[in-house]
Amino acid sequence: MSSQTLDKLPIGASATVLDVAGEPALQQRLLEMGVLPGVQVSIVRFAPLGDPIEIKVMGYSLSLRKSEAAHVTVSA
Amino acid sequence: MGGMMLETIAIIAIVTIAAGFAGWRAFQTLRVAKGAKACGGCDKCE
Amino acid sequence: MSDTTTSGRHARHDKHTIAVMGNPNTGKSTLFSALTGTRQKVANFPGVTVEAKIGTARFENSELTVIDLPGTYSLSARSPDERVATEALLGRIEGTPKPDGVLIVLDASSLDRNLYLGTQVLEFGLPAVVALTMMDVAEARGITVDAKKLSETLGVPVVVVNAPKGRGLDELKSTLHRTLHHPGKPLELPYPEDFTRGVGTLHENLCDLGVELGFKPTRPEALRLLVDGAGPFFEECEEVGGESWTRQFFEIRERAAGGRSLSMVEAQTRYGAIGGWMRDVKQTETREGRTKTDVVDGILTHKVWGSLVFILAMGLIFQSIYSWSGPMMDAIDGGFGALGDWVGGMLSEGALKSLIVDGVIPGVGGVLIFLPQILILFLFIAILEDLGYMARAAFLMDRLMSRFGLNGRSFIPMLSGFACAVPAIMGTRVIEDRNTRLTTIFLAPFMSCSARLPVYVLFIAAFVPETKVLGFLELQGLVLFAMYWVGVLAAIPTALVLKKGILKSKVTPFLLELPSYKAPRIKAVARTLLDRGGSFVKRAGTIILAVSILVWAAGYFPHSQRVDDQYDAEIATAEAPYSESVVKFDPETDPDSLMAKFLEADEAHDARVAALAEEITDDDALETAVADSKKKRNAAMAEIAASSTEATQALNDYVAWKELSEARGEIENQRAGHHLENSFLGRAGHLIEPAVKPLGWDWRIGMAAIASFPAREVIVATLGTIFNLGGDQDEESDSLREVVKDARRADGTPLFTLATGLSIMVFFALCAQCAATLAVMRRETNSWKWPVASFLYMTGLAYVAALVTYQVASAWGA
Repeated sequence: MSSQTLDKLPIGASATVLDVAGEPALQQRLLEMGVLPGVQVSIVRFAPLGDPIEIKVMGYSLSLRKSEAAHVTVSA
Repeated sequence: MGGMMLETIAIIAIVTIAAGFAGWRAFQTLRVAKGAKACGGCDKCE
Repeated sequence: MSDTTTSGRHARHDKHTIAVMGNPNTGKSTLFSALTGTRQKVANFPGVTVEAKIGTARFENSELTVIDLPGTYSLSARSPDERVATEALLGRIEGTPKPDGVLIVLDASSLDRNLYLGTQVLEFGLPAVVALTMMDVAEARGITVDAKKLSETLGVPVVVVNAPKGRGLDELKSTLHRTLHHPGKPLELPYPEDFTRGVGTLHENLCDLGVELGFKPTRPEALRLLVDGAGPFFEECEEVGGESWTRQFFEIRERAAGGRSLSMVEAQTRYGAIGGWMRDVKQTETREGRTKTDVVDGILTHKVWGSLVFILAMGLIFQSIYSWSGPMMDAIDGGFGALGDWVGGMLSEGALKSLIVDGVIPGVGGVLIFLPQILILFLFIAILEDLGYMARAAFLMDRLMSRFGLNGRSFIPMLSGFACAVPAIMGTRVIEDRNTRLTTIFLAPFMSCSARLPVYVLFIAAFVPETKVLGFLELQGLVLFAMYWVGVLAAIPTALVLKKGILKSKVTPFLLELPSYKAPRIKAVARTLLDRGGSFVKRAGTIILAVSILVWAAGYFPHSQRVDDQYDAEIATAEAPYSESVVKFDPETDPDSLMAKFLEADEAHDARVAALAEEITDDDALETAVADSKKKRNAAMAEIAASSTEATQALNDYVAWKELSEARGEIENQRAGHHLENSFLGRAGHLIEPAVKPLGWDWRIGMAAIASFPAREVIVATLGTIFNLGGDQDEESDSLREVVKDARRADGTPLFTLATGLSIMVFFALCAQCAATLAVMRRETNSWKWPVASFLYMTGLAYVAALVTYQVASAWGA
């Protein structure tokens, strides 16, 4: 199974989270908000200026920056 | 003449109260600055 | 904070305290309001700025004190705000009652994530009840939650509530009542062995430290400390335990982790357990098609439409502030004018009359007139907030904000800055990164707060014509919009300098929930309006009243008799050529005299002209109409004069009286002006005049600006008082707007031109004239450095910008 990071997915794509890295504060926040290995995420849209991204996770909408999404590895 | 006297006293009293109140508020604001009170410098958040 | 002290009187009754906890956007506040009604107040936690609401709920004979803690996603204590939630839960906050139990609010439509915090709270083992909200939203998305099974799983009662409709509240109260009498049982989750052992070791270690800490740490706190490894509690322990403790702590941490990161262990255990429970508790029917929120978001966060809607929404707000407030403002204006006349007529000439008519009424009235506009601004902010649009605004703005060393989270405090910088600065507590937070604190006062609004409105109304641009945009609204941009435009380079220089910041996490849209709750919006309006009125009635009185006193004293004598003599000289019947005539005491009849005809003409000026915009047409009215007046007067020889004489007397009245009025104005210049305020004003002259100001504006250093809206009150004292008015009921238009310099040229008006507005847009803001800045940054820097920088910038504005505007002939 190939993998890539969350920020590289196109709008409408769905994937499963494989790993969440990043410096401790960011990692903890992502995990708390439900972005953790095994969870399905989908890309809803990009903000008008291209960043941040809106994703759907655990049935709600979460906004995060591309630089933060880059720490989330997902299945391709 | 008594009326004049009364008026003068009233004015002095009013101005003193106003000055006292303004001073008290200034003191409260300083207390906020020092962290003794969480809020009070501005009524908007009360 | 004093809620507990009042409890003694009802000691016979059952009395308990519960804390309400939950994620943001779960309907927690609505539930709290529904439980407590109007019996609530805001409690501030000393030391930190997080505030909680405390209210009272009644059930049968018992009284329940309810503490609404700030909504959070987790108890992890990275920011002081989150730590305080834990502290409050454990009753360690001075002045706030210790909770006997906890009400956990869970949003059924995103139950998994809500349970993350839920499990954290349940581990504390307090008696707990779950309130399940948003069942209707969940159902609309095809999610059904079995409350009974959830209750069995968690081991605590679960009550389905719909607070807006008032459903489930009684059941919730009786359940709370029942539950509080039984001890709770801590929730146990299947953590890996290493982790559990680590928590245990650290807990023992902390208990040894307990004496120095001043409290006995609980096991869930040990868990938090172990996982978080940072934050206020960690720093506290580090300080008390010293280097050896820190070394031990990291050893325990290392062993507990077992190769993974501790937050990963915690999250996987919690979400693992939650996922298992959900298989029984929740059923999801996959629905094709998009939810309403998705559809709306498709537009509101769209590349083109979203930005357009954002700009339009902001524009609409400023337009409405103008177009809706007119009638209300006129009513308030008229009311205060009438009040001044009425009180003025009752009091005899003297200092007391001057205090009330020149000091208090124009001072307080001049500020209160802005109540309608402030209410309209807050109406929009409250609606947008309730709607869920604010989070979208942060989503739209994050990219832009991040360029200036801020993030989307800074957007909400900045936006609150448009209301008041004090809550805005307090709101920066949600920003985790210190440098981002300091930048936001420094920039928040640049946003045009509601206290600046009166200044803008006054000068815009006086100098910007009431015309429309492009056929539908009010020019006045447009200029107001532009004034709001002045602060923003000044903030941008400031932010860039801070970002490059002293506050170099690494990029900080920006995770933001975009909640589903909700219809604004009328009650909540009304409450916000009532609160904001109430505090504004209170301010006008207290501090602004006091400052008005002081400014009046400074402008009135020393009231020299010598000056009075000089003008009395001048009036006597002016009166000398006239006959006694002219000098003594007073229409008030002699309303039936022939002279009064002429005056009546004259005033009727004046009234007609005023009405015509409102109606007719074309200059030529107006001139013809005024000439017609004049003819009518002359005819009426001629008719009266022709009736008898006495009447002819009376007309001559009337004309002479009018001439004399004007001369007397002129002398009275000079007298008032002389007194003002001689006053303490006047002398100080002249002293600073050279400094403000380049800005196009005279000493009176300079004085008003200085008097408003503690709070900028005071300038409006101060100007009202100064111009009333200075006699720069034809009649007492004139609004300040008119007075400002008519004010003259010593040489007779108009004091305020468009250039002066703009220079004053720009100065007030940028200056740091707010003691409360500087005080809060001192407390939030824990140093005088920031408020002093802010004051010097903003005042300097304001001066330079006002100087440039005036010079450029006058060069263009404005």
